[in-house]
Amino acid sequence: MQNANGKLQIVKSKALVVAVAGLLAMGIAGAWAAGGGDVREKKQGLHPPIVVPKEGQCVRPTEWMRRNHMDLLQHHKVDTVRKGVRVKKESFDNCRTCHTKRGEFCDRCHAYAAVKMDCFDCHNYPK
Amino acid sequence: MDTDRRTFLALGASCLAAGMMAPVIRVFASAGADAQGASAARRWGMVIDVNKCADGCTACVEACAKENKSPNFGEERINIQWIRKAEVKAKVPGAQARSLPLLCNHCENPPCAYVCPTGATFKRDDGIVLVDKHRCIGCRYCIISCPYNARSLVFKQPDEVEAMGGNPDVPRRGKGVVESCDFCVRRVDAGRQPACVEACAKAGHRALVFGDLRDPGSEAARLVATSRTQTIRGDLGTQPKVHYMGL
Amino acid sequence: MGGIVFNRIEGRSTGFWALLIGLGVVAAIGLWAAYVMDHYGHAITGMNRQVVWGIPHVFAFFLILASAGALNVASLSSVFDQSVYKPIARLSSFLAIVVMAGGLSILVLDLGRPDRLVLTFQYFNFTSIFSLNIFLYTGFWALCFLYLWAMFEDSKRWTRPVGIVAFAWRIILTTGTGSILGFIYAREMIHSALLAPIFIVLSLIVGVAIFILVTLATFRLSGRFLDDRLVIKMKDLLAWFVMAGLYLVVIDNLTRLYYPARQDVVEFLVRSGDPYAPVFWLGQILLGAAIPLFLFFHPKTGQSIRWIAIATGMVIVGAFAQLYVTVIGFQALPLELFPGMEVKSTFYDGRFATYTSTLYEWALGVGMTAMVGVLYLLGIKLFRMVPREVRMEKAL
Ligand code: HEC
Ligand code: HEC
Ligand code: HEC
Repeated sequence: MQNANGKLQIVKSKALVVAVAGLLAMGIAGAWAAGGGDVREKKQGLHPPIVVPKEGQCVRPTEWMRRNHMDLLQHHKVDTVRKGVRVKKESFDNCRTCHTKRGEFCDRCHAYAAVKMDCFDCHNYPK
Repeated sequence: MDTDRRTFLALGASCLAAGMMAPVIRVFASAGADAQGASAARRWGMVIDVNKCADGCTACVEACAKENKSPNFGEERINIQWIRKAEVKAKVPGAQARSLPLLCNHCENPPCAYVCPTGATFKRDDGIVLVDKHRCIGCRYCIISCPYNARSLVFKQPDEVEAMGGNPDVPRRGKGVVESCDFCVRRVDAGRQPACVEACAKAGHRALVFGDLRDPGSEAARLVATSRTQTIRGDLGTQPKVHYMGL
Repeated sequence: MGGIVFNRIEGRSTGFWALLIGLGVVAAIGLWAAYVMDHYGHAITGMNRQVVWGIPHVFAFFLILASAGALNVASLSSVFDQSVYKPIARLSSFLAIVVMAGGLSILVLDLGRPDRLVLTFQYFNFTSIFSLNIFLYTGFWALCFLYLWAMFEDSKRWTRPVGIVAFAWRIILTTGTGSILGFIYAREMIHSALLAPIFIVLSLIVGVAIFILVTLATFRLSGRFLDDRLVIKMKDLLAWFVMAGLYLVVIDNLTRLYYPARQDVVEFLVRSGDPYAPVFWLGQILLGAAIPLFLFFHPKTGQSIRWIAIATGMVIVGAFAQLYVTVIGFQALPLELFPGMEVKSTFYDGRFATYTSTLYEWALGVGMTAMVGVLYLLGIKLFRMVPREVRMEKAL
């Protein structure tokens, strides 16, 4: 049980860090939101600030998207390519209508989280 | 460690797991709400009237390259053409050459799908043979097995800036995967005609007819039923869904 | 043949280290070539739309067949009760393992997307001979390890049953490898049930040939005694295999020659095709069969270890040539979309394709073969596999 205990502690400490960082981020985000046009920079968690649309909502709740956008894409990939189910709203190509530049959005987070992916080799997404 | 704490931990872990599962379940529950996807009641196919196909006309080839952003590597060795024009001539003196387009035949028994080790090549429910570019490992066994020379490997990454242009909804090429004509599946799903068919009609030839071969009302099905059509290498038993008239 | 003493080779001499480092450098160059091929794509190889399997596949088929064949000597010892081979049975099984590693790494590194290899284990397509072969290759590997372990334990209970399964498995494996091409009905010139037996015999040939050379080198270079009569016995075996292979190739080609519709194709493969016709006649027939058979059966050269080694080397070159003609030659043939008609297009229709291999492809093939050498040298240095001496008790 040593293990499980250790894991639990890690989970706890992670939550703490996230909570503190979240509070911090809210402050910073507020500061950022003061300037800018239809986009704002936003700092969430530990990653560098990302640019998000000033208004409107993501295709799913933000909190959910932050954690699960890869599952959404993965699932859509299978559905669309193999079954021919085309849901325009949540499609990969639709992300760029709001998150217009991947360099300011996807790439910043991924660089921080050391996520490597080859999607943009094929999928059009302005940098 | 006493039992109580163990139970507590187990409980906590399962709650956590359940919490994590919930969004996943939501993803799966949402799919298909506003689209049913490919239907097995359909069989997309094409009828090509060779007599209407003009010598030297490459409207279909160009439209295809534009729609699907086929990169031009400038080398015949590695260039990609999903549809190509060929000249066929009997081996007798003075025989006249006939010009016709060749493309993926979207076989009912696709040899490429049978040999693909990961199932990246597959036949969709409505009969279109596709490559799932996300699953292809680039082994090229399908190219070896295709009797129609319809598949190509992407030999290198196309120039990014150049490939960005054109139709933004169509992904670019990624090196190392295999691909072939997909009947412009995005257009078909949106109820439109493949780019080559449109271009041929626009050029005034109307040699290509695309439609649902299982729908007796469609022009393609009517042509297959009433005229003398032929498939390429029908003797192999692949049952192509591209039919030729006047071959 | 009780009381064989196995030990490690010492592996401290300058020669050993020079060999190890030399092979290591070649292997590193091979890996570099694989990296470049992955980075720039297959455009930097000589492959084209029509010939999509090039030199790397020839090497891969060659090593996979050699691996299955290298197990022959172990099988002879424990399945067919030929106890004279027992002292070198461990080496045989170990060689099978490392050679398979080389073949598979070429196959993987030559993929368009080597980074997606895990997908082959995630998704299986059971109608694909390739999928089937993934099982066969990994299973063969596991069996060879088990077999080796049983021999190390000197376990009478395990050696024989595992040996029998491994023997059956290697026959199925080579059948599967031949069927990769043999089942392709789109290419009539290669679509043949005969390809499986041809590959089985080819595997017997290369396996035994490589094993003879490797054993000779190991014993000679580490100053151990290897009974000449054992080498001569293996040579006789090899000679029979070479004759069987020649027979199959002749009958296969004659079958094609009697098919008027495709006589231009036969003409291309054995008369006009460049380089397939010269590779066929000079490599496969002359170097791979005619000269070695003469040397093997000549009363003088057939008893000389040096000449046996030379002839065995020729057999290996010939087998490589045969795979070159089989794997690449048939891809160069045009597909018959309209039988009996003349076809012309900007897309290789109706004409023979050309293929000029590049240095990267050779570097990959040679490099991974060198890696096999590195693994082998490390193996015999770390494990007790080589007998101190091999003397045959009774005259044959
Ligand atoms: C209708 C416009 C719109 C579309 C389409 C859209 N998003 Fe969003 N997305 C937003 C907005 C607005 C936010 C920020 C919400 C906030 O800060 O509360 C956001 C936030 C996110 C976040 C969380 C960022 C953070 O705060 O950490 C991710 C991840 C994300 N989007 C991914 C995607 C992906 C992937 C797609 C394509 C499937 C997509 N979005 C499509 C508008 C959109
Ligand atoms: C809030 C930060 C954030 C933003 C913004 C973001 N991502 Fe991610 N993304 C991540 C993290 C973290 C992971 C890794 C998750 C893991 O490995 O479990 C990830 C993983 C992925 C993966 C899976 C990668 C893999 O290895 O399978 C894909 C695909 C992906 N993101 C696509 C996108 C796209 C497309 C966008 C922009 C529209 C985007 N992401 C924006 C944080 C983000
Ligand atoms: C080798 C090129 C290639 C790569 C790499 C690639 N894709 Fe795709 N993807 C395609 C093609 C081509 C389609 C279009 C298939 C169709 O429309 O039928 C597609 C379609 C999709 C779709 C469905 C269409 C849509 O707009 O929703 C999703 C989702 C998707 N890809 C996600 C991904 C993700 C996530 C990655 C990275 C992990 C990725 N792709 C990497 C080529 C690629």
